[in-house]
Amino acid sequence: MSIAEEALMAYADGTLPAGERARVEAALAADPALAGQVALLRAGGRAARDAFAGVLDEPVPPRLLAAIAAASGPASPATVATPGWEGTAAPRQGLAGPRPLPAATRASRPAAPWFARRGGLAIAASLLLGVLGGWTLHEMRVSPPGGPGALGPALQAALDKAPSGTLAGEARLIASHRAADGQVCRSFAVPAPGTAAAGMLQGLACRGSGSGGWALRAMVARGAGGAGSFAPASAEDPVLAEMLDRLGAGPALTEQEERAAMARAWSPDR
Amino acid sequence: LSPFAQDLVALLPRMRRFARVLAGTMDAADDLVQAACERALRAEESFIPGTRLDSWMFRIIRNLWIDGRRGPAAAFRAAEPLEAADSVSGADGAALAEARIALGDIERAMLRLPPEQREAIALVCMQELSFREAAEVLQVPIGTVMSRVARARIALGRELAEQVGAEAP
Repeated sequence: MSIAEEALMAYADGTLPAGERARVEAALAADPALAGQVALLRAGGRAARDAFAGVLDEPVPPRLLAAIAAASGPASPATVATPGWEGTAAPRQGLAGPRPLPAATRASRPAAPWFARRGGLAIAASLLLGVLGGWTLHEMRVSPPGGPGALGPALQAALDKAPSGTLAGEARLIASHRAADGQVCRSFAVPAPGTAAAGMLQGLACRGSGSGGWALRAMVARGAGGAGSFAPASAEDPVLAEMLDRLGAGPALTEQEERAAMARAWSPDR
Repeated sequence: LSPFAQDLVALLPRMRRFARVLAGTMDAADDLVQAACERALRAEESFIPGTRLDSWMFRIIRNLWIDGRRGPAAAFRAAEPLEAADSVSGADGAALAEARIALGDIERAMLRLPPEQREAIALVCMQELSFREAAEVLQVPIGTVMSRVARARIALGRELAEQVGAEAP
Protein backbone atom coordinates (compact mmCIF):
# COMPACT_ATOMS: atom_id res chain seq x y z
CA MET A 1 0.00 0.00 0.00
CA SER A 2 1.19 3.46 -0.78
CA ILE A 3 -0.11 4.77 2.53
CA ALA A 4 1.69 3.50 5.62
CA GLU A 5 -0.15 0.84 7.57
CA GLU A 6 0.00 2.98 10.66
CA ALA A 7 -1.76 5.88 8.92
CA LEU A 8 -4.31 3.55 7.38
CA MET A 9 -5.17 2.02 10.75
CA ALA A 10 -5.34 5.43 12.38
CA TYR A 11 -7.63 6.58 9.59
CA ALA A 12 -9.86 3.52 10.07
CA ASP A 13 -9.99 4.29 13.80
CA GLY A 14 -10.71 7.96 13.24
CA THR A 15 -7.56 8.96 15.10
CA LEU A 16 -5.54 10.28 12.16
CA PRO A 17 -4.70 14.00 12.51
CA ALA A 18 -6.79 16.21 10.26
CA GLY A 19 -3.75 17.32 8.29
CA GLU A 20 -3.00 13.80 7.07
CA ARG A 21 -6.58 12.79 6.48
CA ALA A 22 -6.92 14.47 3.07
CA ARG A 23 -3.91 12.60 1.70
CA VAL A 24 -5.38 9.24 2.79
CA GLU A 25 -8.81 10.10 1.44
CA ALA A 26 -7.33 10.99 -1.94
CA ALA A 27 -5.52 7.66 -2.05
CA LEU A 28 -8.72 5.81 -1.10
CA ALA A 29 -10.72 7.58 -3.80
CA ALA A 30 -8.15 6.51 -6.37
CA ASP A 31 -7.88 2.91 -5.17
CA PRO A 32 -11.04 0.93 -4.34
CA ALA A 33 -8.95 -1.99 -3.06
CA LEU A 34 -7.37 0.28 -0.50
CA ALA A 35 -10.80 1.51 0.54
CA GLY A 36 -11.84 -2.11 1.01
CA GLN A 37 -8.85 -2.69 3.23
CA VAL A 38 -9.80 0.25 5.39
CA ALA A 39 -13.28 -1.21 5.83
CA LEU A 40 -11.77 -4.54 6.89
CA LEU A 41 -9.31 -2.83 9.23
CA ARG A 42 -12.18 -0.99 10.83
CA ALA A 43 -14.37 -4.09 11.23
CA GLY A 44 -11.47 -6.20 12.49
CA GLY A 45 -10.36 -3.54 14.96
CA ARG A 46 -13.83 -3.16 16.40
CA ALA A 47 -14.25 -6.91 16.70
CA ALA A 48 -10.93 -7.28 18.52
CA ARG A 49 -11.79 -4.44 20.88
CA ASP A 50 -14.95 -6.26 21.98
CA ALA A 51 -13.68 -9.83 21.86
CA PHE A 52 -13.65 -11.69 25.17
CA ALA A 53 -15.02 -8.61 26.90
CA GLY A 54 -17.23 -10.94 28.94
CA VAL A 55 -14.12 -12.24 30.70
CA LEU A 56 -13.88 -8.89 32.49
CA ASP A 57 -17.25 -9.54 34.15
CA GLU A 58 -16.50 -13.10 35.21
CA PRO A 59 -15.87 -13.63 38.91
CA VAL A 60 -12.17 -14.10 39.42
CA PRO A 61 -11.51 -17.76 40.31
CA PRO A 62 -10.63 -18.13 44.01
CA ARG A 63 -7.55 -20.11 43.09
CA LEU A 64 -5.99 -17.03 41.48
CA LEU A 65 -6.65 -14.90 44.55
CA ALA A 66 -5.34 -17.70 46.71
CA ALA A 67 -2.20 -17.99 44.59
CA ILE A 68 -1.49 -14.28 44.88
CA ALA A 69 -2.20 -14.36 48.59
CA ALA A 70 0.07 -17.36 49.09
CA ALA A 71 2.93 -15.88 47.08
CA SER A 72 2.62 -12.43 48.61
CA GLY A 73 5.15 -12.55 51.42
CA PRO A 74 4.11 -10.45 54.43
CA ALA A 75 0.48 -11.51 54.40
CA SER A 76 1.03 -15.22 54.02
CA PRO A 77 -1.71 -17.28 55.65
CA ALA A 78 0.56 -18.48 58.41
CA THR A 79 1.06 -14.89 59.55
CA VAL A 80 -2.50 -13.82 59.25
CA ALA A 81 -3.96 -16.87 60.90
CA THR A 82 -2.88 -15.83 64.36
CA PRO A 83 -4.77 -16.92 67.46
CA GLY A 84 -7.81 -14.80 67.90
CA TRP A 85 -9.15 -15.92 64.59
CA GLU A 86 -11.39 -18.31 66.41
CA GLY A 87 -9.86 -18.11 69.83
CA THR A 88 -9.58 -21.87 70.07
CA ALA A 89 -7.95 -24.35 67.77
CA ALA A 90 -4.59 -24.04 66.10
CA PRO A 91 -4.74 -21.55 63.25
CA ARG A 92 -4.51 -24.10 60.47
CA GLN A 93 -7.22 -26.25 61.93
CA GLY A 94 -9.36 -23.27 62.63
CA LEU A 95 -9.07 -22.17 59.06
CA ALA A 96 -9.76 -25.52 57.56
CA GLY A 97 -12.85 -26.06 59.65
CA PRO A 98 -13.49 -27.71 62.99
CA ARG A 99 -13.69 -31.24 61.70
CA PRO A 100 -12.70 -33.18 58.62
CA LEU A 101 -15.10 -33.45 55.76
CA PRO A 102 -17.20 -36.59 56.40
CA ALA A 103 -16.31 -39.39 54.04
CA ALA A 104 -19.91 -39.77 52.99
CA THR A 105 -20.12 -36.14 51.93
CA ARG A 106 -16.92 -36.45 50.02
CA ALA A 107 -18.07 -39.57 48.23
CA SER A 108 -21.36 -38.00 47.29
CA ARG A 109 -19.63 -35.26 45.37
CA PRO A 110 -19.74 -35.96 41.66
CA ALA A 111 -16.54 -34.05 40.97
CA ALA A 112 -14.17 -31.65 42.62
CA PRO A 113 -15.07 -28.01 42.13
CA TRP A 114 -13.42 -26.63 39.04
CA PHE A 115 -11.10 -24.34 40.92
CA ALA A 116 -10.12 -26.99 43.42
CA ARG A 117 -8.55 -29.51 41.17
CA ARG A 118 -5.08 -28.23 41.81
CA GLY A 119 -4.09 -28.07 45.42
CA GLY A 120 -7.47 -28.81 46.88
CA LEU A 121 -10.37 -26.68 47.92
CA ALA A 122 -9.42 -26.74 51.58
CA ILE A 123 -6.16 -24.99 50.88
CA ALA A 124 -7.69 -22.45 48.55
CA ALA A 125 -10.44 -21.71 51.02
CA SER A 126 -8.06 -21.34 53.94
CA LEU A 127 -5.90 -18.93 52.05
CA LEU A 128 -8.87 -16.88 51.05
CA LEU A 129 -10.14 -16.97 54.56
CA GLY A 130 -6.88 -15.95 56.13
CA VAL A 131 -5.51 -13.50 53.71
CA LEU A 132 -8.38 -12.07 51.80
CA GLY A 133 -10.40 -11.95 54.99
CA GLY A 134 -7.70 -10.02 56.79
CA TRP A 135 -7.16 -7.77 53.85
CA THR A 136 -10.79 -6.87 53.33
CA LEU A 137 -11.34 -6.33 57.01
CA HIS A 138 -8.48 -3.92 56.95
CA GLU A 139 -9.65 -2.22 53.79
CA MET A 140 -13.22 -1.86 54.99
CA ARG A 141 -12.02 -0.28 58.21
CA VAL A 142 -14.18 -2.59 60.26
CA SER A 143 -11.32 -2.58 62.77
CA PRO A 144 -10.96 -6.08 64.10
CA PRO A 145 -10.20 -5.70 67.81
CA GLY A 146 -10.32 -9.41 68.38
CA GLY A 147 -7.94 -10.33 65.57
CA PRO A 148 -8.39 -11.07 61.90
CA GLY A 149 -11.56 -13.15 62.34
CA ALA A 150 -13.51 -10.57 64.27
CA LEU A 151 -15.86 -8.27 62.45
CA GLY A 152 -16.41 -4.59 63.02
CA PRO A 153 -19.40 -3.12 64.86
CA ALA A 154 -21.41 -2.24 61.74
CA LEU A 155 -21.31 -5.77 60.39
CA GLN A 156 -21.84 -7.21 63.88
CA ALA A 157 -25.00 -5.15 64.19
CA ALA A 158 -26.20 -6.15 60.75
CA LEU A 159 -25.65 -9.83 61.53
CA ASP A 160 -27.39 -9.43 64.88
CA LYS A 161 -30.48 -7.58 63.73
CA ALA A 162 -31.11 -7.86 60.00
CA PRO A 163 -33.25 -10.75 58.71
CA SER A 164 -32.00 -12.66 55.69
CA GLY A 165 -33.02 -11.14 52.41
CA THR A 166 -32.71 -7.59 53.75
CA LEU A 167 -30.11 -4.90 53.41
CA ALA A 168 -28.45 -3.40 56.47
CA GLY A 169 -26.25 -0.50 55.52
CA GLU A 170 -24.01 -1.87 52.81
CA ALA A 171 -24.39 -5.46 53.91
CA ARG A 172 -26.95 -7.75 52.35
CA LEU A 173 -27.90 -10.70 54.53
CA ILE A 174 -28.33 -13.84 52.48
CA ALA A 175 -29.22 -16.80 54.71
CA SER A 176 -28.81 -18.35 58.15
CA HIS A 177 -27.83 -21.92 58.95
CA ARG A 178 -27.47 -23.98 62.12
CA ALA A 179 -24.05 -25.66 62.30
CA ALA A 180 -23.56 -29.12 63.79
CA ASP A 181 -22.27 -27.64 67.05
CA GLY A 182 -25.41 -25.52 67.39
CA GLN A 183 -23.89 -22.21 66.32
CA VAL A 184 -25.76 -20.07 63.87
CA CYS A 185 -23.81 -19.10 60.77
CA ARG A 186 -24.99 -16.37 58.42
CA SER A 187 -23.93 -15.63 54.88
CA PHE A 188 -23.80 -12.04 53.73
CA ALA A 189 -22.44 -9.84 50.96
CA VAL A 190 -20.70 -6.48 51.10
CA PRO A 191 -19.21 -4.31 48.35
CA ALA A 192 -15.55 -5.02 47.72
CA PRO A 193 -13.21 -2.19 48.69
CA GLY A 194 -12.49 0.24 45.92
CA THR A 195 -14.72 1.09 43.01
CA ALA A 196 -18.08 -0.41 42.18
CA ALA A 197 -16.31 -2.37 39.47
CA ALA A 198 -14.43 -4.26 42.17
CA GLY A 199 -17.52 -6.38 42.69
CA MET A 200 -18.73 -7.91 45.91
CA LEU A 201 -17.40 -9.99 48.75
CA GLN A 202 -19.48 -12.82 50.12
CA GLY A 203 -18.80 -13.89 53.66
CA LEU A 204 -19.89 -16.46 56.19
CA ALA A 205 -19.85 -15.54 59.87
CA CYS A 206 -20.71 -17.72 62.86
CA ARG A 207 -21.94 -16.61 66.27
CA GLY A 208 -19.99 -18.26 69.04
CA SER A 209 -21.21 -18.45 72.59
CA GLY A 210 -20.21 -15.68 74.96
CA SER A 211 -19.33 -12.10 74.14
CA GLY A 212 -17.21 -12.90 71.10
CA GLY A 213 -19.89 -11.88 68.66
CA TRP A 214 -19.75 -12.95 65.05
CA ALA A 215 -16.52 -14.40 63.67
CA LEU A 216 -15.76 -14.54 59.99
CA ARG A 217 -15.34 -18.07 58.70
CA ALA A 218 -15.04 -17.50 54.98
CA MET A 219 -14.80 -14.59 52.60
CA VAL A 220 -14.91 -14.84 48.84
CA ALA A 221 -14.44 -12.14 46.24
CA ARG A 222 -17.04 -12.11 43.51
CA GLY A 223 -16.59 -10.12 40.35
CA ALA A 224 -18.71 -7.20 39.34
CA GLY A 225 -21.74 -7.91 37.26
CA GLY A 226 -23.82 -9.69 39.86
CA ALA A 227 -23.65 -6.69 42.16
CA GLY A 228 -26.97 -5.86 43.73
CA SER A 229 -28.67 -8.96 42.43
CA PHE A 230 -27.84 -11.80 44.76
CA ALA A 231 -29.50 -15.11 44.69
CA PRO A 232 -31.13 -15.67 48.05
CA ALA A 233 -29.52 -19.04 48.66
CA SER A 234 -26.15 -18.96 50.37
CA ALA A 235 -25.20 -22.27 48.81
CA GLU A 236 -24.70 -20.48 45.51
CA ASP A 237 -21.10 -19.76 46.32
CA PRO A 238 -19.06 -22.98 46.24
CA VAL A 239 -16.54 -21.84 48.84
CA LEU A 240 -19.23 -20.80 51.30
CA ALA A 241 -21.14 -23.98 50.56
CA GLU A 242 -18.05 -26.03 51.26
CA MET A 243 -17.49 -24.21 54.53
CA LEU A 244 -21.11 -24.79 55.56
CA ASP A 245 -20.61 -28.43 54.66
CA ARG A 246 -17.56 -28.65 56.88
CA LEU A 247 -19.43 -27.02 59.73
CA GLY A 248 -22.08 -29.68 59.34
CA ALA A 249 -24.63 -26.98 58.73
CA GLY A 250 -28.20 -27.84 57.80
CA PRO A 251 -30.31 -26.15 55.16
CA ALA A 252 -31.07 -22.45 55.42
CA LEU A 253 -33.32 -21.62 58.36
CA THR A 254 -36.86 -20.68 57.49
CA GLU A 255 -38.07 -17.19 58.24
CA GLN A 256 -39.74 -18.39 61.45
CA GLU A 257 -36.72 -20.39 62.59
CA GLU A 258 -34.46 -17.43 61.94
CA ARG A 259 -36.75 -15.09 63.86
CA ALA A 260 -36.77 -17.50 66.79
CA ALA A 261 -32.98 -17.78 66.76
CA MET A 262 -32.65 -14.01 66.60
CA ALA A 263 -35.03 -13.65 69.55
CA ARG A 264 -32.71 -15.89 71.58
CA ALA A 265 -29.74 -13.70 70.61
CA TRP A 266 -28.48 -16.45 68.29
CA SER A 267 -27.48 -18.60 71.23
CA PRO A 268 -26.10 -21.97 70.20
CA ASP A 269 -28.70 -24.68 70.09
CA ARG A 270 -28.75 -28.30 69.16
CA LEU B 1 -1.85 -8.25 50.90
CA SER B 2 1.03 -6.04 49.90
CA PRO B 3 0.22 -3.03 47.69
CA PHE B 4 1.94 -4.81 44.81
CA ALA B 5 -0.21 -7.92 45.33
CA GLN B 6 -3.31 -5.75 45.49
CA ASP B 7 -2.35 -4.18 42.17
CA LEU B 8 -2.09 -7.68 40.74
CA VAL B 9 -5.54 -8.56 42.07
CA ALA B 10 -6.94 -5.45 40.43
CA LEU B 11 -5.34 -6.48 37.14
CA LEU B 12 -6.68 -10.04 37.23
CA PRO B 13 -9.70 -9.45 34.95
CA ARG B 14 -7.55 -7.87 32.24
CA MET B 15 -4.85 -10.51 32.60
CA ARG B 16 -7.44 -13.26 32.29
CA ARG B 17 -8.82 -11.67 29.15
CA PHE B 18 -5.40 -11.39 27.57
CA ALA B 19 -4.53 -14.97 28.50
CA ARG B 20 -7.85 -16.17 27.04
CA VAL B 21 -6.81 -14.85 23.64
CA LEU B 22 -3.50 -16.67 23.85
CA ALA B 23 -4.53 -19.93 25.49
CA GLY B 24 -8.10 -20.30 24.24
CA THR B 25 -9.66 -22.16 27.14
CA MET B 26 -10.55 -20.67 30.49
CA ASP B 27 -8.56 -23.30 32.39
CA ALA B 28 -5.39 -22.91 30.38
CA ALA B 29 -5.71 -19.12 30.56
CA ASP B 30 -6.10 -19.15 34.33
CA ASP B 31 -3.11 -21.49 34.64
CA LEU B 32 -1.10 -18.92 32.72
CA VAL B 33 -2.33 -16.04 34.85
CA GLN B 34 -1.64 -17.93 38.05
CA ALA B 35 1.90 -18.83 36.99
CA ALA B 36 2.50 -15.24 35.86
CA CYS B 37 1.32 -13.80 39.18
CA GLU B 38 3.51 -16.20 41.12
CA ARG B 39 6.49 -15.29 38.97
CA ALA B 40 5.76 -11.57 39.32
CA LEU B 41 5.57 -11.79 43.08
CA ARG B 42 8.89 -13.63 43.17
CA ALA B 43 10.46 -10.98 40.94
CA GLU B 44 8.70 -7.97 42.40
CA GLU B 45 11.98 -6.08 42.92
CA SER B 46 12.69 -6.15 39.19
CA PHE B 47 9.53 -4.21 38.44
CA ILE B 48 10.35 -0.53 37.99
CA PRO B 49 7.83 1.62 39.90
CA GLY B 50 6.22 4.20 37.69
CA THR B 51 6.24 1.95 34.65
CA ARG B 52 3.15 0.11 33.49
CA LEU B 53 2.41 -2.95 35.57
CA ASP B 54 -0.10 -4.18 33.00
CA SER B 55 2.55 -4.24 30.26
CA TRP B 56 4.93 -6.01 32.59
CA MET B 57 2.36 -8.67 33.42
CA PHE B 58 1.36 -9.12 29.77
CA ARG B 59 4.99 -9.75 28.97
CA ILE B 60 5.29 -12.38 31.70
CA ILE B 61 2.06 -14.06 30.61
CA ARG B 62 3.12 -14.04 26.99
CA ASN B 63 6.58 -15.43 27.74
CA LEU B 64 5.13 -18.21 29.87
CA TRP B 65 2.71 -19.01 27.09
CA ILE B 66 5.55 -19.27 24.58
CA ASP B 67 7.51 -21.47 26.98
CA GLY B 68 4.46 -23.69 27.36
CA ARG B 69 3.98 -23.97 23.63
CA ARG B 70 7.58 -25.07 23.26
CA GLY B 71 7.43 -27.51 26.14
CA PRO B 72 6.41 -31.16 26.17
CA ALA B 73 2.83 -30.33 27.10
CA ALA B 74 2.46 -28.16 24.02
CA ALA B 75 1.03 -30.84 21.79
CA PHE B 76 -1.55 -31.77 24.38
CA ARG B 77 -2.56 -28.20 24.99
CA ALA B 78 -2.91 -27.44 21.31
CA ALA B 79 -5.14 -30.47 20.90
CA GLU B 80 -7.34 -29.54 23.83
CA PRO B 81 -10.74 -28.65 22.43
CA LEU B 82 -12.13 -25.23 23.21
CA GLU B 83 -15.13 -26.85 24.79
CA ALA B 84 -12.96 -28.51 27.43
CA ALA B 85 -14.07 -25.93 29.97
CA ASP B 86 -17.60 -27.23 29.64
CA SER B 87 -16.77 -30.69 30.89
CA VAL B 88 -15.70 -29.84 34.42
CA SER B 89 -18.92 -28.49 35.79
CA GLY B 90 -19.42 -31.25 38.36
CA ALA B 91 -20.99 -30.03 41.56
CA ASP B 92 -20.52 -26.41 40.69
CA GLY B 93 -22.38 -26.12 37.46
CA ALA B 94 -24.08 -22.98 38.64
CA ALA B 95 -20.85 -21.22 39.49
CA LEU B 96 -19.26 -22.38 36.30
CA ALA B 97 -22.19 -21.35 34.17
CA GLU B 98 -21.93 -17.93 35.68
CA ALA B 99 -18.23 -17.78 34.99
CA ARG B 100 -18.32 -19.11 31.49
CA ILE B 101 -18.90 -17.01 28.43
CA ALA B 102 -20.03 -18.60 25.27
CA LEU B 103 -17.47 -18.32 22.54
CA GLY B 104 -18.96 -16.12 19.89
CA ASP B 105 -18.04 -15.80 16.24
CA ILE B 106 -15.57 -13.03 16.99
CA GLU B 107 -13.76 -15.06 19.63
CA ARG B 108 -13.55 -18.12 17.41
CA ALA B 109 -12.25 -16.05 14.52
CA MET B 110 -9.69 -14.46 16.77
CA LEU B 111 -8.41 -17.80 18.04
CA ARG B 112 -7.88 -18.89 14.44
CA LEU B 113 -5.35 -16.09 13.83
CA PRO B 114 -1.67 -17.06 13.82
CA PRO B 115 -0.23 -16.69 17.34
CA GLU B 116 2.00 -13.72 16.55
CA GLN B 117 -0.93 -11.81 15.07
CA ARG B 118 -3.19 -12.79 17.96
CA GLU B 119 -0.87 -11.48 20.65
CA ALA B 120 -0.28 -8.25 18.73
CA ILE B 121 -3.96 -7.47 18.12
CA ALA B 122 -4.82 -8.43 21.71
CA LEU B 123 -2.31 -5.97 23.12
CA VAL B 124 -3.07 -3.08 20.78
CA CYS B 125 -6.79 -3.30 20.02
CA MET B 126 -8.09 -5.09 23.11
CA GLN B 127 -5.78 -3.89 25.87
CA GLU B 128 -5.19 -0.52 24.19
CA LEU B 129 -1.42 -0.50 24.43
CA SER B 130 0.40 1.78 22.02
CA PHE B 131 2.40 0.17 19.23
CA ARG B 132 5.54 1.10 21.13
CA GLU B 133 4.32 -0.47 24.35
CA ALA B 134 3.23 -3.60 22.52
CA ALA B 135 6.61 -3.78 20.79
CA GLU B 136 8.29 -3.74 24.21
CA VAL B 137 6.03 -6.50 25.50
CA LEU B 138 6.64 -8.64 22.44
CA GLN B 139 10.33 -7.74 22.06
CA VAL B 140 10.02 -7.01 18.36
CA PRO B 141 10.48 -3.81 16.32
CA ILE B 142 7.55 -1.40 16.33
CA GLY B 143 7.08 -1.78 12.57
CA THR B 144 6.67 -5.52 13.03
CA VAL B 145 3.90 -4.93 15.56
CA MET B 146 2.15 -2.54 13.18
CA SER B 147 2.13 -4.92 10.28
CA ARG B 148 1.04 -7.84 12.47
CA VAL B 149 -1.83 -5.82 13.88
CA ALA B 150 -2.83 -4.63 10.41
CA ARG B 151 -2.79 -8.17 9.02
CA ALA B 152 -4.72 -9.46 12.02
CA ARG B 153 -7.38 -6.76 11.69
CA ILE B 154 -7.82 -7.40 7.98
CA ALA B 155 -8.00 -11.18 8.49
CA LEU B 156 -10.52 -10.75 11.30
CA GLY B 157 -12.57 -8.27 9.33
CA ARG B 158 -12.56 -10.56 6.29
CA GLU B 159 -13.60 -13.58 8.31
CA LEU B 160 -16.46 -11.72 9.95
CA ALA B 161 -17.59 -10.33 6.60
CA GLU B 162 -17.65 -13.89 5.24
CA GLN B 163 -19.72 -15.04 8.19
CA VAL B 164 -22.22 -12.27 7.61
CA GLY B 165 -22.26 -13.18 3.93
CA ALA B 166 -22.85 -16.85 4.74
CA GLU B 167 -25.81 -16.02 6.94
CA ALA B 168 -27.45 -13.89 4.26
CA PRO B 169 -29.97 -15.76 2.05
